[in-house]
Formats: sequence, structure tokens, C-alpha cells
Amino acid sequence: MRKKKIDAFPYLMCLAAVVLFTLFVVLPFAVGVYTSFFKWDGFSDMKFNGLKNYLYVFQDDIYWKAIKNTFVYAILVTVLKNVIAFFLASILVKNFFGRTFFRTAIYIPVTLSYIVIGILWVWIYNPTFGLLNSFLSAVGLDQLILGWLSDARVALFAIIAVDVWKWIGYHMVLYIAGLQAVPKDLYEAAEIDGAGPLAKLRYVTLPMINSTIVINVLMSITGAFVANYDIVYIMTDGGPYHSTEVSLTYIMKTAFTDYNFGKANAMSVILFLMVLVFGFIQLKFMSHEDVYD
Amino acid sequence: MKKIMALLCTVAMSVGLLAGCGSSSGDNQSVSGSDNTGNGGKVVMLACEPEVPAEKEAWEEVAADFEKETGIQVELRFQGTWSDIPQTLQQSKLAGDQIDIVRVGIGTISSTLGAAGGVKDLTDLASPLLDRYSDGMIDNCYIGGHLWALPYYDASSYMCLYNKTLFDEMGLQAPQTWDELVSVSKALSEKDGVMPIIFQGKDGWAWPMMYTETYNQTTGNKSVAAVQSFLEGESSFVSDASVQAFDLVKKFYDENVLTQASLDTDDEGMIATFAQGKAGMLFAGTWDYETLKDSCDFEIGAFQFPVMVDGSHSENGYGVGDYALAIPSFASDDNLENTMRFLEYITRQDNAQKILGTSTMIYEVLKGVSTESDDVTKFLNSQIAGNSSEYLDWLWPSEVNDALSTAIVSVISGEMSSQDAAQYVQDAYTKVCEEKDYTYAWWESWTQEQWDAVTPTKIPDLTQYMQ
Amino acid sequence: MKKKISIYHIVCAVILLIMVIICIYPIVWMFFGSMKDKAEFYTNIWGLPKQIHLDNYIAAWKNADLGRRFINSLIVTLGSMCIMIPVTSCAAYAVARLNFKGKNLIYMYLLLGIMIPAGVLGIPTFTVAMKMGLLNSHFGLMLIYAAQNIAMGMFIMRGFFISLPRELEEAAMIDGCSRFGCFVRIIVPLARAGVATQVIFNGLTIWNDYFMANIMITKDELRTLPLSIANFVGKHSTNYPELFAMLTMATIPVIIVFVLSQKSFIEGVAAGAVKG
Repeated sequence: MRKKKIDAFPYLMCLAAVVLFTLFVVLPFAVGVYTSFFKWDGFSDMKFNGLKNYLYVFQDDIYWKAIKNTFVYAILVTVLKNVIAFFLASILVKNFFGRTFFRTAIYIPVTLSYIVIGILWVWIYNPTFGLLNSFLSAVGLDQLILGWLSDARVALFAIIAVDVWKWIGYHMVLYIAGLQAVPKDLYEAAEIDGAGPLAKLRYVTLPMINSTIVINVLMSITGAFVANYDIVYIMTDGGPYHSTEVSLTYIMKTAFTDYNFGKANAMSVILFLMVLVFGFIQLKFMSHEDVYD
Repeated sequence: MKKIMALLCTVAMSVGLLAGCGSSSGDNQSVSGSDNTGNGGKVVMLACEPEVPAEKEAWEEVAADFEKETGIQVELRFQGTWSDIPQTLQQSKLAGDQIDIVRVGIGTISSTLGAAGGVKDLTDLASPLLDRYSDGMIDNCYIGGHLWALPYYDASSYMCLYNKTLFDEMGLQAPQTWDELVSVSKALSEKDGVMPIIFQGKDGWAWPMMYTETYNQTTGNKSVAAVQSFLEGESSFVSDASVQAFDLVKKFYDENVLTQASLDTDDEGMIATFAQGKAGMLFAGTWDYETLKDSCDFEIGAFQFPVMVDGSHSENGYGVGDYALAIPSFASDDNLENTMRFLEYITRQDNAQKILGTSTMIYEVLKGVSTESDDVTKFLNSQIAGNSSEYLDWLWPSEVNDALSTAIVSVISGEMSSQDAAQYVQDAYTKVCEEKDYTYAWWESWTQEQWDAVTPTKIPDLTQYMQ
Repeated sequence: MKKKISIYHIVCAVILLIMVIICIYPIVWMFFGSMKDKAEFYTNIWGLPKQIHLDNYIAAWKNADLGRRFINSLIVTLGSMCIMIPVTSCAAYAVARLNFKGKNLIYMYLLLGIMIPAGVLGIPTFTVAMKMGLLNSHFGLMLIYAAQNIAMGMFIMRGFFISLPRELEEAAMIDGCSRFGCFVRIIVPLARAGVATQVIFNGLTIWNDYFMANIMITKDELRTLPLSIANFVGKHSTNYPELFAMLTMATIPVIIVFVLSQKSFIEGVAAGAVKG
């Protein structure tokens, strides 16, 4: 297969993806980067502003608070989603009556519209007629009753709980698929070697589903950075006093409430660079199976 | 082979698109207004989806009547939600779509669209129509002495309501003074499962409503002038009036008129709490009145926001032009006659009643157009007359409003002193001046060129069409 | 030993039960909400509707022209899949199993897609689409959806391709398959699970998308289902019962697709592994 001529086949295979991606994702983003050097209200002519928008972002305490929240959010969501989803998957991978029902039930929140989730959870957390506080006082835990969305100490976690609840079903399905694919004879072999449940988990299951874990972790992390706008917006929109602000809510507010597109784009670019660094670090660390040659 | 075909198709398609991108970039400059169909021409109105389906039907009916009478076709482009409209308008401009009328909020015009030169100056164009508006009801559509939009919806104001049935049962009277409010609140709190006032405190944007009411009083009923002076950079927001207004909002909380529950309650939750009889009173905007009226199976009464500062009177924030009709500056002047004829047609009393009568109309913005006549409505109407100040959040930029919301919640929660809160708002103002070149009185610094871009080149004579 | 296992089982059963309740309750709540009248929505929040208002469904269907929008959403979602799946499969295959200069560069480039916050890119995307004459067309919307999901699709498909043993292709080559023929006939069928993963994740995102659809589509007859939300959410009041009726109608097909596809999807993965 050694030819002097460059083999065009692999490039042709990639062409469509690269072209589509460049046109509709990279090009608009490049326009966004360009916009970040201008003052622009979205209507009138853009005014060149040099690096000033970036300076404003660096001086903006709320943005850095939002970034900090985003990191807390990303870490917690990633750990919780993956641990719980893996645990549920390890139960639901087994063959028992009603398994499809359970799988479907847990998947249901994934399919729900944010508008329903917003009303429902804000009302569950409601102090006057909410289910959570009624439940807590019914079981005698009155001291745990809190202003779930108004207390700056807990509001972010109250949102994270909803995010985890919404997406757990999706990650569970991926884990079920991953677990199904682990050959049964490996477990048998491990049992012969005298491995207990934890050892089997450590030495058989986890290495075998590594690629599934990588997908799930990557999805949760990037989701927390670039796709959690809806859920935070409907729950608190960043309040009280910006204690639940995440990067995306602040960016969207700057763009569509304050009509400051230049600064919003500068924030986007900074966020992008941060995700870029962390995304690739994560991939480097976790993808050791990628030595295919 | 199918896959090969699919692949080739995709590739070919993508390449074609890429090529198209380069070549067609100059082709999209079709002049708006040139797209006239029929002999009478066409008017296009961009608006968000109507409040209720009946409103949409009414618009269509009136538009059809208009076409029958004048031969001018009307295209009603209802799209998205209210908050999508500025972006949709911008896109239409980019795409060269014909848009002759856009329905926006006056708040959007005063904060962005106006300063950006996005809408035409209607001062001369619409002058024959002004008589159709009730006294004072169009005033706040004037910004810098020019008219930018015609209000076309109910006016709104803040309101205090109480559960009259519950009050009667408990032998309570609607509070007239602050002391009465405190004692009524105390009586209500002692009843199991009832709180005094419910407020949508989870929605950050709602807090400036309450602040407006206290600020109106601490400035000696000169809040608008005070805010204008602050926004023009003539005075700092850190003043006794501002600080005291924070203190007064906190007083609601400290004296248990407002409780912790309000901090966790959103708009819908507030309606639900009140409708379930779990709160004796409510402070909200009149836009919630329709839903409240439909949801409560008890009698509702209204009362005046209490006087908290000696020597001032209670004043409600109010605004006209929640929905207002403006003409985008990119609309062709050639089509102005048709556009204005349509505006003239829909502001006629019978047509306005048809369209606006589908929603609750508490205030009579257009003469003779209203739907409500219950006690609460009567009370609100009597309250508004000579007793109101413009919404402050329509005057200041969104960043200042956001800072104010943050500051109020921080003050209530004890995170910030009132003094620091006022400074926080002042800092937000300084920041917005720097970051966005914000000027309150943008109309004063406009060049002739900027004025030309929004000034209509000809003024059609509307009086010939008016009945 | 036996006792220990049974305690474990009980714990699992309890956790499952709790999960099921908190996951199923919302859809039941939405369904109940869709049958209440406006007042009851606020006053009887958690309970059963006192009187069943099925007319909410009829009103919602009529007010938002849901019939046509269902079809539009179906076209757009399926169309996006039909573009996205072949495109990502081809590229992911090349990146996973072929050796060529710059392959890592291409892969990393495409992966950038999951790291770009798309929220403020509405107007730039609109501008690009406009210059290509793709406004107000389902095809344009499909291309944008496909493009925005390429990164995730690449990542998923590459994961599946890379785990397949090399002997598969070698055997096929010996049988005289062309490289592309081998990809289509041998590799793609084994990556069914990857395709299904894309369908249930990206398909759902596309089915529920409001933001891009609102930007790209202005003509009433081309609008997709999520845009109907605007028909019920007003600036001053929202018709929640009708909104919930509409959302119930939009959600049920998604759940059906999941029930039907989950078995073949999960078993598809298992089958791939057994063969490997």
C-alpha cells in the first residue's frame, strides 16, 4: 500500500464533516471573536475597541464569580451524574422483570422541556406550598428547611440537583450499553482468581468500560461549561445576588439584556479557551486506550 | 453504493454552499418596500406571538377589513416571544426583509433601540393621531421630546391587593398607613398558614418595583428627576434618598410584612400563593391582575402603597407602552403613507376595541377602549390620576437595574449595608458609561446625520383618511 | 453471604423505587396540569384535576397549528440525522482507523465544537446562513443542526470504531472489498450502537431546539414544534394548561422512540462486543 502519491481517501472521508463544521460553527465563532474587539449594541454600527472588552471582562468580579461557580458546578455535576448513573446502570443491566419500565422511567426527565422542569422544581422548592419542605416537616426534619433558591449557600446546589436529576437517565443508558459489552467470561475468570465485588469493579469493569466513562465525563464537563444555560436560567437566572451565576447566564445576560455584544463575545472567547485547556487535559488523561495503529 | 452517493451528495452540497457563500454576498440588498404586491401596496408588521389566540384573530380580521377598504395588503408577522423581538428585528434588517411596523416595548426603545437609531421619529408623522389617546397616556413614549412609538396595549402600574374575603372574616380593614400595614400583617401572621404580603422576590427584576415605591417617597415624589440627574452624571446615586429607600425596603422585611417566603417565590408562585389564600396581601404589577382575577375564588380589594416618609405621598410606578408600535429606521419612506394609514386604522376606537379588547384593559390608554370596570380597576384608575411616576427601570440601563436588584436582595439578606448598596448601584453606572459609552440623553449628542437617519423625508397627510 | 446479598437487593430496590417516583412524577404532573383549567393550575397544584379539561388539547392543537409543526419537526430532525450520521461516520472512521497526515489535527479541530459556547452566536450563524440563501428553509436548519452536533457525533462514533478489531477489515479486503465498500458493509453495521447513541442524544436536542429554529425560520408554515411555546407564553400571562398539553403531545413521541430503540440500542452494543 505504499504509494508516492498522497492517498486522498481519508481526506475525502473527512471533507464533509470539516466543511460543514467550518461553515456553521467555526465561521460564526470567528465572527464572534472578531466582534469581541468592538463595541456593539446589536443594532448600530460596530466601533473598534481594541482589547478593551477583554480588559472589562478581567475587571468584572461577577464574571469571575460565575467562572468559579461554573467550575464547582462542573465538578459536582460530573461526579454525581457518573456515580449515580453507573450505580443505576449496574442494577438495570441485569435481566429482571420490569427492567424496561425502570429504564424508561429514569430516562423520562431527559425528554422533558425546560419550561416544565422550571415550574415544577421551582414549585417543589417553594416555601409555601412546595413538596420538599412539606416532606421534610412530615418526616420531622424541620431544621433542614431552607430557602432552597434564595439562600446563597445552597441555591447553586439546589440547581445542580435538578441538573443531575434531568440527565441521569441519559448517562445511565450509556453505562448500560457499556456494561452489556463487557464479556461475561472475564468476570468468571476473576471469580476463579478469588476477586470480590470491589476487585471485579476495579480490575474488570472499570477498565473495560473506559471509553464509556470518557464519553460520559466529557459530556458532563462540557455540558456544565457550554450547555447549562437553560437550567440555571429557569431556576434562578443567576440570583440571589449572582450567587448562582454561571458563565453562560452571565454571557447571555450581557448579550441579550444589556445588548453589549462585544463584551459578551469576549467572555465567550475566554470561556472557550478555558474549556479548551480542560477538555484536552481530560482527554489526554483518560484516553489511554487510543493507541490504535 | 447508497452511502457513496450520500457522501458524494454531501460533499458536493457543502462545496456548492461554500462557493455560494462567496458569490452571493452582495445579492441581498433588496430595498425594503419595493416588494409591493397588488396596486395598493403592502404593510408588514413584526410582533411577537399575541397574548391570546383571540387577539391574533382580531388582528387578522382588522387587517382584512383594512385591505378591503384601502386595497393595501397587511402581512402580520407574529414570531417568537416578546424578548426575541429585538434580535428578530436586527435579523430582518440584515436580511433586507420589509418591516414597516415593529411592536416593541418603550423600555427597549429608551434603553437600546432609540439610542442605536433603530426606530423612526414619529413626532410629526403621528401627530394627527394623538387626540385618540387619553390625557397623559402617551407621555412616556416621548423620549428627549420626540415621539418614538405609539402605545398599543394596556398601561400598567404597580398595585397592592388584599384578600377581601379573608380580611372581612378576620375583621381587618385594608391598611391605609404603614402602622396599619404592620398591625394587619401581625394579625395575618398569627393565623395559621397565612403570611402577610407575598412578593415575587425570587425574580431579581422584581425588586426594583418595590424600591421605586420607596424611592418615590424618599425623594419627596421627585424620583424621575432624581434618577435623570443621576443618569446624566450630575449627581451620585449615593444620596440620603437612595440610602433611605433601601432602608425602607428592608423595613418591610424587618417588621415581618414581607417574609423569607417571598425571597423564594417567583411570579407564578406568587399568584398561586395568593390564589390559595396563603397570603393576605400581594404587591405586584397590574399585568398579573387578569390571571389573579381568574384564579382567585374570593373577593379581591386594592389598597394604596403606604406612606412611609413624612411629607411625601404615595405614588405608584406606572408605564404606558409595554407594547408599542414603532417604525424601524430601515423601513422605506416610500411606504410610509401605507404604514401610517394602517396605524390610523387600528387606532380608531372600534378597531382598537376589537384587538385590545381581547386582553384585560385596566387603563383607558386609547379613548373609549377598556374592558374592566370592577372595584379594583376603579381604584387603580383613581390612583393613577396625578399619583404616579414613570417606571424607573424604563429610564435607567439594564445594568443599573440588575445592580439595584442585586443590592436590594443583599441589603435584605444583611450582606450589604444600605450605604454600600447605593455605592454598588453608582459603580454599575460608572461601569456602563465606560463599557458601553452610555449616555442618558443620547438625543442631545446626536449628529445631524444620525437625526437624518431616523427622520422621515415626507409626512403623509393622514387627516384625509380620518373619519 | 446469602443474607448480605439480600440486603444489597433491598437497598437497590428502594433506591430504584425512589428514583422511579421522582422521575415519573414530573410527567404525570405535566399530564395532570394539561387537563386543569387556568385557575386550578394555580390553586390545585399537586393534586388530580377536579374536572378533566381535554379541550386544552384541542385548543392547543388548533392555536399553535401543531399538526403541521409536528411534521416539520419530524422532517427537520430526521433530515439532520440523515446528514449528520453519514458525515460523522465517514470522518470518525477515517480518524479512528486510517493512517494519514494530519489526522489528529482534524480530529482535534472537529472536537472544538463541544467547547464553543453557542449562545451568543445566533446572529453570526444567521448571517452565514443568509449569505448562502438558507434562511427560511428546513434544509438550512438541518445543515446547522448537523454541523453543531458534529463534534459530539465524531467523538461517539470514533469511540465505537476504535474498539473494533483490525482483522475485520483485513478479512474483507482479502475478499476483494474496496476500502469504502468495506467501511459501509463491515464497519458501519457494527457501529449501530454509536448511531443509536447519536439518535437518542442529538435527536432529542434537535427535536427540542427553540433558539436556532426561531432564528432561521420566520415563515409560519415552516415552523417547528418548540416554536409553539411562544404561542402560549405571553409577556403578561401564560396559558399553562394549554402549554402543558402541547408539551405532553411533543414529549410522548420521544418516550415511545426511546422505549422502542433502547433494547436494540443496548443489545447492539453487546452484539458488537461479542463479535469482537
